[in-house]
Parts: sequence; C-alpha cells; structure tokens
Amino acid sequence: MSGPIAVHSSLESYRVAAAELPVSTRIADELAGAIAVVDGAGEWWDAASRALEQKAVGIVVSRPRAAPSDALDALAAAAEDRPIILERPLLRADIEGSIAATLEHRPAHSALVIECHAPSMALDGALRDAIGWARVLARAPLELRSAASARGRGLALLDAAGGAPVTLIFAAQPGAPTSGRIRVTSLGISLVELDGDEGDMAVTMTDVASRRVAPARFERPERLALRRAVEAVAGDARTPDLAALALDATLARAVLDASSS
Amino acid sequence: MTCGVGIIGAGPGVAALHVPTLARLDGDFRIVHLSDAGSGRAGALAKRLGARASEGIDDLLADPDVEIVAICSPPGEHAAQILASVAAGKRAILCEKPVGTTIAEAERAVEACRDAGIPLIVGTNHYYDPAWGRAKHYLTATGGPVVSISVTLALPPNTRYHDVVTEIGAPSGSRPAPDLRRPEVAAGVVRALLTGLAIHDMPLVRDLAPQFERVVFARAVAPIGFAVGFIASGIPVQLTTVMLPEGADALWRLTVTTERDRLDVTFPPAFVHAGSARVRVLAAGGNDTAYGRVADDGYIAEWRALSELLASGMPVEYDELLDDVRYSLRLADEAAALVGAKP
Repeated sequence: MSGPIAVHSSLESYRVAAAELPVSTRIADELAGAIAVVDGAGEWWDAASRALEQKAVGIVVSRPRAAPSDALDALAAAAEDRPIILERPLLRADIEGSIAATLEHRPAHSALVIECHAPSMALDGALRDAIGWARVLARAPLELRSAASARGRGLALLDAAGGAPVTLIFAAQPGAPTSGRIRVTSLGISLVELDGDEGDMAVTMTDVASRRVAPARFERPERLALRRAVEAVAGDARTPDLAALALDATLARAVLDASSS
Repeated sequence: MTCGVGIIGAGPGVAALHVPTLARLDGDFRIVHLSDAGSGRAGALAKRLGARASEGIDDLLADPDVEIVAICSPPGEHAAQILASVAAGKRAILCEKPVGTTIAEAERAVEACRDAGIPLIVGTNHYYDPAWGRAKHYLTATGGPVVSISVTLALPPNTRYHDVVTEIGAPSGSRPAPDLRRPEVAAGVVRALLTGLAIHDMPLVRDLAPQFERVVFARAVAPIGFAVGFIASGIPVQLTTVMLPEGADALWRLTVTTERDRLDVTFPPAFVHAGSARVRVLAAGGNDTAYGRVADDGYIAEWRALSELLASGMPVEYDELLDDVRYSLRLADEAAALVGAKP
C-alpha cells in the first residue's frame, strides 16, 4: 500500500474509526478514489451505487437494513471487482473467521439451534444475522423446510446441506437489546455456541476434555469494517459480504412470511 | 417414620438413580423389596441392601412391608402396574414417566389412584427441581408474557454418569444406530424420545403454555435425536435433542423468553446428584443474574414431595398429572405421525 486510503464518510462513528486507522486511512471530501461509507438505514443500495458511479474504490455499509434482492444483484454488478463490506450488527466478520477456522478441524454437527429475539423494529435484521451464523456453523447454505409465524413470533425448520436440521425460534421482545439478542448452538461431539448481542457476543466451544471461551473483541465494529475494506482494496480482493447478506436476508424473509395456515 | 419401598424394576436406572437417591433420604424411606422381570439383577441389588428380591410383581405387591411402590419398569408396563399397586392397597406410588403409553391407559391408571385416594408422584424430576420453583416464581412475579420456549439437549452416553454414582455397570456395548431413513423407524424414535426424554420438561412447558395447538415440524436427528417445533397457547416451542456416542458433557437447558427477559434453566446431567439446576436471567435493561444451586436436585425433591404428601394428607393434583400426560402423549403422537408420513 503506497499511502493512506481516502475514506469518505458522513457518519461520525466512521470518522472515529478512520482516526483509529491513522496509517492506512485519511478522511477525504471527494468520493473518487475513496472508500465510501454508506449509512445502511435508508436506501443504502442506491447510495452505494451512486458512490460507485463516482469512482469510489470500495464501499462500507453501516448496519444495512433489508434490501430488495434485485437491488443487491444490481449493486454487485455495479461493484465489479470493488469490495463491498457490510457491518452487520450481530454478525462480526472477525468472529466469523475464527469460528470458520476452528470448525475446519471438527466433525460435523448433528443439529443446530437458533434462538433470536429483538424489538419488533429490529427483528428482521436480527433474524437475518442469526441465520447467517447458522450458515457459518453449518458450513453450508440453508433451506427452509417448514415454518409458522404469527404476531411477531414463530419457529421454523431449516436444512443444511447433508440434512442436519436447524431449528429456529424467534419472537419480538421489547426488552431485548436494541439490535436483538441471538444464540446459536451447534450440537455435536463438540458443542459450539454463540450467545449475545451487538456489544457482547460470547463464543464457547466445549468438548469432552475442555471448555474454551473465545476472547472478547475490543475492536469497534466500525473500525473492523473499515479495516477490512482497506485490506480488500489494497489486496484487490473480492468480498463475500453482499452474497452472504442476500442469502441470509432471503431466508429470513421467507421465515417471517411463512403463514400459520 | 420410615416407609418401606418396593421397587419394580432393577435396571441401570434403579441402580444408578433410585437406590443412591433413597440412600440420601434414609429415615424417610427404606428399600425393602426389589423385583425384576427375570434378569436376576434385583437379587444382586437386594442382597447388599438387606432387602428381599423377587421376579414379576406379585410377590412384591403381596409383601406387607412394601408401603410405597416405585415403578421403574419399561414404560409399556407402567399403567398396569399402577392399577395392580392400587388393587394391592399400597399407600403411595412413585411411577417413572410416562404414566402410560396411551392417553386411555394413563387416564385409567390416574383415575384408579384418585378413586382409591392413593398419592401418585410421576418421576418428571425437572418439575420438582427447586430451581424450577424459583424460575417459575420469577416468571410469575416479574417476567411478563412468555414469547417463546426452547429446550435444547445434547447428551453423551448415560454410562458416563452411571459410573460416578454406582459400581453396578449399565449394559455395555452400543446398540446399532436406527435406520432413520425409514419413516416408520424415524417415527418410532421420535415418539420414544418425546415420551422418554422430552417428557421431563413437558410439565414445565405446560405450566407456561397450557393449550397445545399443533406440531409445526418434526424430524428424527442422527445418530439418535429429534427436532420438534409446536405451538401452544400461541407460544412457539422448539425441542432439539441429540444423543451422542461421545463428546462434551450433557447440555440440558430450558429457555423461557418473555417480553422482558430471557431465563435459562440449565439442569445437571441425569443420574448425578450435583444439586439443583442453574438459573440465569438476562433482564431488560442489561442485568445478568445467575442464581446459585441449592443442594437438593429434582430426584431428591420428587421423593421428598411424596413424603410430604403422605405426612400432610394434602390432596394430589390428579387433574394436573392427567393434563401433563395428555399434553405429552398428544405431542408425541402428532410429531410421530408427521415424521412417519414423510416419504
């Protein structure tokens, strides 16, 4: 990397993140040649597309809300080889990476259990991220087999490749943390469990001999997302974030739409 | 006053569970008679306890020193043995779950106890675990409406826990894994596990979600287990259980989520005496509270409950027992039907 990469952001939290990456980033007013940070609260896919048209070299989406699948396809096409990094409140990429590495050496699970609770406004996103964790732990995309939901609560049976079932229960819970609380438990010779909320996701792995608790992650999610974007731009690397989001969001929507009839 | 106990059945569950449990309650109970179905195990157990042994149930029920009958035989025999115990005029019965394998036979058995005024305790030990009482109190007092219930089990072989409570070994060697690709086999596995394992927690679930509505999904899980989701009182309930050939210590957790809080009740492994379950509450506002264990576990507590019934003459809640078994068997039947119907 020849010098700091420009970061264009109107979000204060990302200006702080840039300040925590003083060697690899610098704040810039222009989009051309910069990593553009987009607020995921609105129609972020349009904002991201506009940034790409203005020659942004990469995109970071802060806390993306649900997006139409065709908009995601269009954004992926517009990005070409430019990285799009998503900061998902309940699915941190660094934890995902460490879990994926750990699972490489472990036998497949027999079943996965998802529990997902969030205030009504956040339930879609929490469910999407919980399903994302199940995809990571299952090491395969998931399919919906059956579901029932009503009044913001329900359950579903999903399948991972190979047939291991994934059970899912979810409900709107006013008392849950703002972005929701999830727990995903992999049942097998080794038990792997993620349990927590946006600020505190505990990861434990238990086998016959020991119980390991993964260390806490102190890097702010905004810095993590920005650092990943810098690394992807510098390395000309494609990122899987958008495709993973599309998979998880589509499945979450299918679960939520499932009729109780 | 010490009551004489006769135990029908002498399998690993008796050697590893009821004999050590009753040893902890010496003074209230004394094992005076054990019977088996011809295995000879009752004799070996009885010898070291200074008790009598017999084959079948007739001698045990005719034994005047047997005041309380503990029915620890295979589930298909429970209802008939309850009826026989009532006919023999025994003072009380503790029956391992389930009371019967069909709703009709369970109703006959419980009604016979009611008609005779005989106290009946069903060995759903989690219901008697002191931690559940504490959790229920919390839910009633502050928890708010329940929005979901989840029961998650991952169980290594029972021998791991037998070995720390008895020297009398369980039968060695593992059974061949059932062929879960065959719908009728898968359905049988799901029904057996729902009536044998999940039934421990069904009185707790029914306490919170009393009106069973329908099964949403049901599936057998390899190597042996099940995944079942159902709706009761408008509340989604998921049950996920896997029995594993090795691996981590038992996970047995009931989670109740209300509009405000998440409450985990984590039970100790079966057979061991490690105190009550642990209760953890994640409350709205961020408080994370773990309640300590108390010394008594559900096994001890269910026998204490029987002792208190005998001492106090308090009426038994037969209708609750009946509703528990109806709930469990309906769930088991509907889940098994769903599994068996799959191509």
